[in-house]
Amino acid sequence: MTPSTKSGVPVIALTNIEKSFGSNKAVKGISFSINPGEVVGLIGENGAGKSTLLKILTGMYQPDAGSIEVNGKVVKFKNPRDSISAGIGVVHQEQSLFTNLTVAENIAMNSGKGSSASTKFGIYRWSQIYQAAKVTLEAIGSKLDPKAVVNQLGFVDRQMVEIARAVSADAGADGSSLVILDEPTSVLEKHETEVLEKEIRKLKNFGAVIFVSHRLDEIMRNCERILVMRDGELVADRKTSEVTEKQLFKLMIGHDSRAEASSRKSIDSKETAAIEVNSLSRKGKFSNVSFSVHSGRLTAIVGATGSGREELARALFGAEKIDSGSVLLDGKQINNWRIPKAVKSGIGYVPSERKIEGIIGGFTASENLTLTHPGKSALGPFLIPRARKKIAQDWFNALDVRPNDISQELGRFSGGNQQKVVMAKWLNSPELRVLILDHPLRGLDPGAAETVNAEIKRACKEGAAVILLADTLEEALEMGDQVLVMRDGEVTSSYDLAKQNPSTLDLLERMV
Amino acid sequence: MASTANAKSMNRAATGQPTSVVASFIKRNVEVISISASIFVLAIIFSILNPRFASVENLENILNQAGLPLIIAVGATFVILIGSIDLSVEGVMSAAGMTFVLMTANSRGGTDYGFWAYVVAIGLAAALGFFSGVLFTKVKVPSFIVTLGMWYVGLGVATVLFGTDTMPFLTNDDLSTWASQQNLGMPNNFLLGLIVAILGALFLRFTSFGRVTLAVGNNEEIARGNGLKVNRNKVTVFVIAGAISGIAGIVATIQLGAVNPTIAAGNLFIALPAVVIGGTSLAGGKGSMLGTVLGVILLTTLTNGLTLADVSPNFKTAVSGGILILAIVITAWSQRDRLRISK
Amino acid sequence: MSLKSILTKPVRMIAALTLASSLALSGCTSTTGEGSTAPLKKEDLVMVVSVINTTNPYFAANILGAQVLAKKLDIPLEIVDSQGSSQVEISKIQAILAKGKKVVMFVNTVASSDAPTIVNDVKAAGGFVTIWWNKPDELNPADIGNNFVAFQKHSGLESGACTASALSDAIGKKGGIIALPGVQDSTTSATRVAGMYQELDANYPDVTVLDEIPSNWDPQLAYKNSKDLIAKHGDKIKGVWTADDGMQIGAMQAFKEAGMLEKVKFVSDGLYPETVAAIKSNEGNGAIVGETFHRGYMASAIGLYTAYLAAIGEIDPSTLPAEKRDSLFAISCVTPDKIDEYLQWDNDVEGWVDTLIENGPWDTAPVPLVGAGPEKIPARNK
Repeated sequence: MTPSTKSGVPVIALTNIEKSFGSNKAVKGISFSINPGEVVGLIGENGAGKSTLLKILTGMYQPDAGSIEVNGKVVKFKNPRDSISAGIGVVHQEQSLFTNLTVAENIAMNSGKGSSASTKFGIYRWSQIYQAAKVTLEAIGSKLDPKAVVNQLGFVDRQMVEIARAVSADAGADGSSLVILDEPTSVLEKHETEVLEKEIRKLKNFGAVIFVSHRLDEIMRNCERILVMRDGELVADRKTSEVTEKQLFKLMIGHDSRAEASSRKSIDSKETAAIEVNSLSRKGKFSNVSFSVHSGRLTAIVGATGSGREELARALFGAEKIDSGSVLLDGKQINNWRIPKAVKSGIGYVPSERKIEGIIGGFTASENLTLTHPGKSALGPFLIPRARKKIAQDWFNALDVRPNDISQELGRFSGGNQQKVVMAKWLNSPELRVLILDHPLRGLDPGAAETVNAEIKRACKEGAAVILLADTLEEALEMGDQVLVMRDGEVTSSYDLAKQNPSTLDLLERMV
Repeated sequence: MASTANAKSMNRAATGQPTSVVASFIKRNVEVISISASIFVLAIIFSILNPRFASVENLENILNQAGLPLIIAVGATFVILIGSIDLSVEGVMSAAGMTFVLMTANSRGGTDYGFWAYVVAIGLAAALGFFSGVLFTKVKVPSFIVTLGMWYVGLGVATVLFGTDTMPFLTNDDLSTWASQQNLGMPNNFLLGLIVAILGALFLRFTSFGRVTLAVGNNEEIARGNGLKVNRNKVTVFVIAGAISGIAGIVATIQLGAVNPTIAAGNLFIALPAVVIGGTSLAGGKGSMLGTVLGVILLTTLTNGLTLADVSPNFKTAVSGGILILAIVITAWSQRDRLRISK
Repeated sequence: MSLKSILTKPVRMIAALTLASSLALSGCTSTTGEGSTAPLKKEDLVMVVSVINTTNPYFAANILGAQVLAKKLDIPLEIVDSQGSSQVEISKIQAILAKGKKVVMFVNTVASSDAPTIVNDVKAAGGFVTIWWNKPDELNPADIGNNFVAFQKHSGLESGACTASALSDAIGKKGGIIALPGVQDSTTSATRVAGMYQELDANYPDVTVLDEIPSNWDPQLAYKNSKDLIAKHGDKIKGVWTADDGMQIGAMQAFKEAGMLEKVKFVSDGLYPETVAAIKSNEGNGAIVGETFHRGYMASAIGLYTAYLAAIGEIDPSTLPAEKRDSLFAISCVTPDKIDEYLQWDNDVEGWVDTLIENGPWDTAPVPLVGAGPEKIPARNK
């Protein structure tokens, strides 16, 4: 935890690190070093080898070749414990806290060594554990209660606990510690991210920071230096001041951004809306929500945590109860709304909790893809494997899913590629009327995000009404034909983007 | 914005009204409260059906009968907390009980090893638990399969030791009536169960072992990623469960004053439901010893009450099953997800 | 023995099942409707004793009787330990039949419903079998043929009457007693319970059964149930009737803990070695007041000898009178003062078997043939 005293020695130095899985070379001869006090960005598309590299740094994988030096000493990590005691702490992409334990314990659990100060002969000294946690939390400027149980905390607070834990990894007596932030913002709302970024800047004081993110703007804002990986190689190591976002994008994916301005349709008011929501309420979640979405249009809903938009989206899919109000599909009122009925009526839902709600990890990609709408791969109750494979292969090609292997278990794909499959699952329905997307870009790299966005637009063009809960306000403004702003369960304003042109600030004002 | 929203909710919590304190107490202890209520309701019903139910004698009797399942349930709680299950309990109990009796003054003769009889019996049980744990973690066989095998190993050990001779009786009367003697107003075996449960609770709350057990039960992968010694913890859990089964085996033989290889039959299937009713999640990571104690008392009260209430033996099994389901629904309704087993 | 115990039950079951299935395949071709009735040569025979488990003293005695008889007749013996499971029992028997030798078999069936399968399998393999204790009433040896030589048992009604009478006399012919039957659907237990009620209704109108709780032949369960009943009825309990001595051990422990052992009298069936020891040591100042005497070694020797005689053509089962196909053997009522008279048999099992060989299966003291089955459970009209 002590700031570096030997400023000349890098906190971490990698030399020719290699790692293969079977014939697949995931990391090819990576070398770089990071000095104390540096915040270094690490970017790359999904599958570029970032995760593998991070797992090597955290002792989960052992490299096939190459060496790692920490504070000038050669180290070999046999397991996570070794890495932690060398002073490397991680804030994971997928949150990795023990939800059943207190904040203080989660911080203390980080290492056998770290907790030894608070235990004697294996006996817990709670007061010291709470005290130590309080000190660490204060050091990173958090006012969280060390005694709170994690499952009662929100996302940002949990992320703060992760950071506190990473920071508490014990550095050597004279060394500095390294904090790795593995896409810490990917699950956060924009404004939550801002809170977090402030913390990241403070982390320098503890040593060096590796910051992994898909959001190039974030990387540019927070890092002094940026490492770019592609296909397992380090393709660039640049000072932030010397590159532009566009250049980085190109380095990452090997070609220019295809982003294009969206053209917006105005509504034909005589046409019946694909979905019409009237005074929909659910006690404690949302109240009196009314809006309609026409075929071929996209409505983005924005709101802070607790605005009720997630619950609303789930209710529209029949996953949550409705207390009052009505929903009309193509002008027809629907009753007893349940998921099977929703699916049958042509509603698709891409959940934010992909791993929990969106996929069946143990099924192959092709099975997942044709699960809900088998299309031509089913004849009555019978499934036709060959037809299924063809459908899946077509989608894989269209969406550029990697690896291009439809018979692999979906659980093994990276997040972005899983999301593509989840999208395809709904897009495979010829009767898709309404597509509800809950944070579809969460955790996706720019390349995958671009593909998913293109698919959303295509579905829209082909006649689906799309309801999008966007990650960022920019995303909402870019994708939407209409933007609804929600606060405390109510719609505070609605913008028709064909006629109005609100700024992100306008939206923000109505969110809080 | 979110920070303001958070601040708002934090303020709410901080300046909480007295009512919210009560509410949060209820929320945190919902299982303990609902299970206590269930016991209370059952007790009232049974007392109406037969006034002798509430007699001091019968309450002592209930505690006396709860002693053995309670000891077993404490071990089972540890195992279930890591998301595993230990089916070997009855076999391990038999092996330990048989070893104990044959090493103590008994009707077959032989040497009385005194204190060492306890040490060897519990040591044997702990060793069987150790093998279960090692097979489970190293060979990566699911715990219910490993322990099912260990059940028969224990039974086999007991059968070999039993041989074809007559049933060995404890010849020391002080020992064979120990279980029902009273101390502090409670039968000894229940007192022992309570001590084991309190020790278990202290272990869970105040030792690294206990906290790591909860962490492993919550998420094994994260525990590994945090550098915790997951395998060592799991093996330790099985050793402790084994040793506790050993204690239970000794208590069972002391209660009966004699031993045969099937001495433990039927005990596991009182203890396991009791643990779950007591609020321990089969998926691991969540549970308490207090809940386990109450769960055991609930089930013991149930079987005792049905006998006293003159329920025909033909219906008793079905009635107790029905009430058991009802009790589980009442106590577990708020926490239905813990009945989900993930592995 | 030791190897068998080291192997776990599932392993053994799988092995047995494998054998059994191969038997079933090969058996198809050789099975005929009638089975073999021609006399067999002694050297082709193998003797089989099948018991429910090997740790209960009664079953251990079953094995002892078979061992002594096999030695006397000079026929190899195989022991089947059913481990309390019908599946294990049947698959092990089938495995033995598959070896091709002609069996002379005694089966103490785990459940009544096992009997038809077993007798048909033995018939198909050309062996000879006697079943003890449990069979469905409608399964008649004469209907199966000579290969199902006989079904034999001691009268349960008599056992129940015997112990009920001893208990009632000991408590002064009036007061409350509790009854702990065995497994609820066991005929053996049901007939003993019926015999108890019959006797009480007929001769002891002032003795009342306060409660009756099946305790599954399990000492621990009997202990637990007794505790509940003590709490429920307290001093009203003057006597305890249990369907076998195993449960009596549990019941006595419960009363001992309640300090009531000297005030309550106990009766049961079987006169197990443990019970003998308790009587001899005057446990609870004469707590045990009545027992029945019948022995596992007598049962197995009678059963096996009957089957053996049929196998070598000494007797033709089809010409035997009904009571010799479905038989009830005598059971003796024993009071503590007379136990030594009966225990003398235990001291000379070999001598008893010699007498059996000399007198034939139906005429050996103290267990001569006394009647014909099946034993009907009378309806209670009270």
